[in-house]
Amino acid sequence: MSKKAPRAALKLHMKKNTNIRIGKNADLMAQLNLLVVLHRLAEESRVKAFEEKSATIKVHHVRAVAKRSHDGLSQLNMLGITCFTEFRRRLVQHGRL
Amino acid sequence: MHDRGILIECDSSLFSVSGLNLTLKTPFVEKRIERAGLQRKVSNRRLQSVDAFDEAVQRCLEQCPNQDQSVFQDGKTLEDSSWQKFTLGLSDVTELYVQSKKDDTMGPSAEKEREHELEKARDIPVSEPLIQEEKDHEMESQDEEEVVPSSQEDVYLRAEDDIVLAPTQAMTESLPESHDVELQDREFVEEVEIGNVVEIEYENVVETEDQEVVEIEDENAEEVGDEEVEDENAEEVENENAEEFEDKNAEEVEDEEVVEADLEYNDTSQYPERITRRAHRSEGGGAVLGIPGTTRVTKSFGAGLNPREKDLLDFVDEGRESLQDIPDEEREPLGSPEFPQLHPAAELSTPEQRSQQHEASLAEEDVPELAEDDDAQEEPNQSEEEELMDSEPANHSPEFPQEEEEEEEDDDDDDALSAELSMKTPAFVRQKRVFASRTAQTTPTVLKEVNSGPAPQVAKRAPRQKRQTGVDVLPKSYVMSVFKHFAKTKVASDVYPAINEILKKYFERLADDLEAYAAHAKRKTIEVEDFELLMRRQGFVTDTTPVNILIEKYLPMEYRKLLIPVATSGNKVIPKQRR
Repeated sequence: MSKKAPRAALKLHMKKNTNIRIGKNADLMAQLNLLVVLHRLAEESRVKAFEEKSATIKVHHVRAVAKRSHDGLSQLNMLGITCFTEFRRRLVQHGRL
Repeated sequence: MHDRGILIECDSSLFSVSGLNLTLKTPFVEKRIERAGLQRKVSNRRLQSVDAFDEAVQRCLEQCPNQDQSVFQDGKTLEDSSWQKFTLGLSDVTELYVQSKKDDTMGPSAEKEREHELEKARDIPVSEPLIQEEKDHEMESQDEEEVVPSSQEDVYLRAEDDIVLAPTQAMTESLPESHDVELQDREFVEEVEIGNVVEIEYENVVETEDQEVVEIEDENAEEVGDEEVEDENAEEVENENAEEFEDKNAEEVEDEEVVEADLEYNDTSQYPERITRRAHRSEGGGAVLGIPGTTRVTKSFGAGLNPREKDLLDFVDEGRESLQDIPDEEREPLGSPEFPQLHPAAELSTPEQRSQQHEASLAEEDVPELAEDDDAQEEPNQSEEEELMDSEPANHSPEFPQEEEEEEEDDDDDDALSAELSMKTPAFVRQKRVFASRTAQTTPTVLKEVNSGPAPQVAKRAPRQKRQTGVDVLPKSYVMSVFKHFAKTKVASDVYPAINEILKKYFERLADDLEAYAAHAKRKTIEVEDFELLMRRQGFVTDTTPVNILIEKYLPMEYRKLLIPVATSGNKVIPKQRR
């Protein structure tokens, strides 16, 4: 079920904030990254939904996960954490920001 | 990777689920197949297998759009309703048949059993022979007609008359088994030709059409027949009266059958129309056709009415020709081979065609094919009309979705919000356009014209909102589909705005990080390497999981080719392709 994400939209997003240029196939990588991240997000929210014993994923599930993960991702990047476990540890350290 | 496994699992689970649905929903078909196997007669088996196969095919087709339940349910309901209706219509005929036809060769008990098993199959042949008869109006195949209608009736009226069942069973049984048997029966009826024709038709009908189709036909015939029954009954009565004196009672019965057949035929010919009617009237019938079918039918509904009436008249007068036409539309060629056998063919072909048509209509695919099938079919008067009607709605329906799709696709490409807005307006605008101009025109031009003309207000709104930054999010359909696929559980559609916000933030962060990476590499453009570094940092890529793995896992083929250099024939990997 791999679909093609609109490359133009992705490019637009990336270029929105910065005026830096995007490479040729970089937006493909952006899509890859997006997929991976969405995947992670979906899995986490699914887990969260299971915690509440609901079969469907609701908005608050996703929001709770995003809050954690987004900060975590940014943190991860900034702190240069490559290992996933370390990433989690860092999150805990920073009080699950 | 586990991710890959998960993806695979999802697919398999989905497939298994669908498979379960199939098994649960297809008990009907299976039973029939089993029954067919039990039958001693080879012809029956053959017919059944074909029918079952057709049904299964139709079901599969129907299931694809996830209409399985509706289809199955409809099929069941159709059967029941058709039977009930049938009894109402054929009550008189059965009685007549009972009197005249007790001589049928087939033993009632044996046949009953077979009939029960072959109910569906019989419905098809029964309806067809009846239809054929109507057209003929002649006393031909009295035996067959009698038996056929009686058989039909028997199915419905089992409880009522055993005797009636016997003749009908004999008919149904005999028809598939061998023409000879029918011929014998026909001996009772002076005309032998008709019997052959009926037999052939019967066989053809049974073979070619799915039981469901037959049922539907019956139902259609029933429903439409109810309306027309009155007319036809009058005709039948007249015919009967005239013929009674002329020939044996069998003839009368035939006439009745013929009339009924006409009714049925009309119903079948107007199958698309009928189907829609059923949809309105009966719960089960309409659903079977499915959305595409209904659309087609409804569109031609109005047109169909008129031709139907005409058909009725034709049936009364000639009837045969129209019948044939309809079968032409049907895809199954089984009827055609049979036709050569029976020179009259008109009767046989038509019922077959009709049955085929029904099948086709059911499948909705057959409609276009229907026209192809009939070879020997005679006059296409009725069938042509129907075909035209069917083709027209079909044309319209595909046009309509195409138009919509085109617009939607364009919208998706644009910003989500603008896309949504544009999608909303164009949707009904498109609808207006579609209805306004049914003729097949180049969709894009039509769309452009309509878009530009009728909705200037909308156009004003769309471009303005497109520029809004708040709208810049990925298309909802894509995002939700991806999310659902990854989630593997139900996802509330309300989450989309939340996901949008998340993605917005994500993109911002992403751009910043990548900018930093590029600057670190003293480059002014973000390259793939930056992304690789990003993923490594995020923990998606480690020493054990190369980036290419992720690429293959997630991206579609076209993108993968771009990212991963493919070894050329010279066994050389050109890394430059990456850039």
